[in-house]
Amino acid sequence: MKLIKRYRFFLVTIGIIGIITLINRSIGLKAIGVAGYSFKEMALVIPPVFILLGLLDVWVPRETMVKYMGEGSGIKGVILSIILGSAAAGPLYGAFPVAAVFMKKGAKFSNILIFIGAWSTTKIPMFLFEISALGARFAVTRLVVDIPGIILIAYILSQLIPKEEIREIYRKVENMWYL
Amino acid sequence: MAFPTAAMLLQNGAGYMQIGAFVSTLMMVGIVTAPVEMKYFGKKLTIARNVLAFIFSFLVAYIIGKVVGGI
Repeated sequence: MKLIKRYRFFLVTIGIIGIITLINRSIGLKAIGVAGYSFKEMALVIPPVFILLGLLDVWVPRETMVKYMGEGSGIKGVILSIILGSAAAGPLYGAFPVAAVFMKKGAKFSNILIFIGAWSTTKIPMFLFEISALGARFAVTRLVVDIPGIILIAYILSQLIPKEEIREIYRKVENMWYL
Repeated sequence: MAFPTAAMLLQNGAGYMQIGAFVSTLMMVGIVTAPVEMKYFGKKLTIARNVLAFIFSFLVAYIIGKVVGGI
């Protein structure tokens, strides 16, 4: 019963795809193809991310993280967060476990949010794709607007969420099974 | 996945402002990944982040429309 509850979204989706396939075969198969692609992407992204996490955990001492991204890291922490987020490739869900390790190591909350923002939208590998698909003017404009936007959103969020809740998030992350 | 779709929409007559909104929300807002985000950051922060990113995408779209589309 617990298993059914946990996978209810998955089961409902399978049901819907099944019905669609019965009604319209080609659309159903296409949907299965897209789902397969996403699954493959996830299977390829998650293992390297977790290896990276392991290395990060072992190689970067807490003091270093606090110094460069912690409270009082100032503009240095902001820039480093943007660079780290932008250097990443892969979908947004890959950013959350990385952010969790940063938090565990004592990175500042607003820097975590900047990292998440940068990962979601200013990825350097994607930037090149964007230039070729939509033009340099489009890509550069978006990048120029996004960087201050990410920082602004990060500060609004860290003001919006009560300190108590932020502490709770840090505490929860530290107790995650794989960290 | 995002950029070929956006380029295709553009070729078929979509405006730059609209494509700006499409690309921006596609990258910054994640409804499907929200449950994972909540596991790490809690419900409140996840909703707040996605709502802010959604609103911010309008600004991005407006500026892209002005600069690239010349509207």
